[in-house]
Formats: sequence, C-alpha cells, structure tokens
Amino acid sequence: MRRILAFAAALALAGCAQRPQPHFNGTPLPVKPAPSFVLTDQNGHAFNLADQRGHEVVLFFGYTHCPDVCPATMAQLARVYRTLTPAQRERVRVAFVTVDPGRDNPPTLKRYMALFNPAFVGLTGTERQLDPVYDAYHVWHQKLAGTKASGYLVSHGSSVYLIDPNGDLRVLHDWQDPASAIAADVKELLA
Amino acid sequence: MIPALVASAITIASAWSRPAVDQGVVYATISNASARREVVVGASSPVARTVELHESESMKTTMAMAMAMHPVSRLPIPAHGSVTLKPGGYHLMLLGLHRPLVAGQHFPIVVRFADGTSARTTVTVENRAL
Repeated sequence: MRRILAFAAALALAGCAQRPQPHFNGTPLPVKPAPSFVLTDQNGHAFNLADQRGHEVVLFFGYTHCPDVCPATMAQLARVYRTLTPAQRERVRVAFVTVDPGRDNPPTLKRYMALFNPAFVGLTGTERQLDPVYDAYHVWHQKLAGTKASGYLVSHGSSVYLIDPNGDLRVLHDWQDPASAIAADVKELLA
Repeated sequence: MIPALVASAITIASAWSRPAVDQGVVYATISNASARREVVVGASSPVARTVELHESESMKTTMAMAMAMHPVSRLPIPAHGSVTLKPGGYHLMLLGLHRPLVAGQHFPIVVRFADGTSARTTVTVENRAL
C-alpha cells in the first residue's frame, strides 16, 4: 500500500513537472467551451468558431468608426502577434467582432484589418446573428447619439478574450494591458 | 482658415495620430503657461472635414470593463497646468478624412480656445498602440 501511495505521489509530481498550473497575467476564467458562433469575415466567407479547433482565438469586440479604444486595442494585438514565431502565428487567429453591423460590412472591415494586420479576421453579421454573440460573451454595448459629423457612437465592452486551441474560453484581458502581458498568456495557451 | 490671434501661452507637444481610413484621432499634451485658465472649444485640420473633442471613459459592466465615449464641448486647461489627450481619455476625433493617414505622415492641426485665440501644432502618424 505504501508503495502504491509513493507511486501515486511520484506520478502526481511527474504530472506537475510536465504540466504546471498555467499562470496567466489576465483574469483566468472557469474553463468552459467558448460560446460558438458563425459570422461573416471581411472576405465574405463564413467564419465558424467551432472550425478553429487547434487554433487559439484572440477575440475583441469593437467597431471601425471607433477612433480611440478600438484602434489602440487592435494596435496592441498587432504588437502581440508580432512577438509570436511564424509557427505560433499559424496557430493563432485574432478576430474582431463588430458591435456596429449597420456600418461595418465586409469591405469596411477589410480596409480596417489591413491597418493592423491583414491576417486578422474582421467579423460581421445581421443583428439576429450578432445579438446572441454579444449576450453569450457578455458584451455590453449601447448606441449613443453623436454629433451631426460623427453620426452615432457605440459604447461597448472592451475586454480581449483568449480561447484556447481546445475551444475553451480561458482568459480575459483589459484593452490597456501591456502587449507583453497579453503575449505571455497567448503563448501559455499554445503550450 | 488662419486664425489671427495666436495663443502664445499655450504649447501643444507630442502630437501623434494613428494610421486610419475614414476617421482618425489626435493625441497631444496641451500646456498653459499663463496665470489664467484656457478652455479648448474646438479644432480643425486640413486632413479632415471636421474635428471634434471626445472623451472615452471606462465603466464596469456585469462581466468586464466597457468603454463609453461622448463628445466634449469645452476642455479647460488649468493655469500653469497641462492636459494630456491620450488613448482611453480625451482625444481629438478626425471625422471624414480626405485620404487615409499612413505611418510617417505629418499634418497640421489648429486648436481653438474660448478667448478667440488658437494654437497650431504638427501631428505625426505613428504605428503606436498606447
């Protein structure tokens, strides 16, 4: 019996050595499958989250007419992406989901993604397709009257979601987190 | 439009912008060396149809943080003080860009104050995050 226990303890130790508890800089979330969705990318193709297994997905919600927080976040994610090796990049998808489907059609998203990294995926859909996605990811959003020149503004959730290659939602980042902190978590989930 | 009165006590430093297609942004530090408060009431630039002053504010929602944005009509710059326009805070929004902004480009912007004076600076378009 003692031997069995010792063996079990050794196994547990070996297990620890092989796969230590991941440490994240962002907010760790209870490991659960990321809510699935099918939306349309900037090339007009369907993007099914369920088809991304084997890839880590970095998800952000925003809109292309947002001048401040969205481009700052996208520029951060472009920096994160640049720190990855080519092999890691193959396994990471950075996806931007619009909270403004009225203005963000695929051509608009395509021009916007090109500002940061043409490999990034810009996603839109009908309100009927998008509303359940906002709900599932708890993305608060609200259209606000702007001015005559700005039309309207959209206040929105500004978190960055990391979905691991198994399709589980794992870590939440704030848009202002340093690129190095986000990059470390992105790499941790690839390990 | 070249304003007649130049606000000599005001300096605008470190003005930068990002690559953009339709709408852009300008961040900068506005300093006021005078003994009285100055108030920003508007801005203009030849690169955009309209320039507006906006403020982003973070707010807590059920699960995560969110950002709200609203136009601001007056931004006071305290006497012997300064205000920095930066990501997630005050920013000048460039609406209706005449052509896309690309990294490395420079363009002028004129900031107007409540007393009728204005200050001009050169903005650099940078590939910068925060």
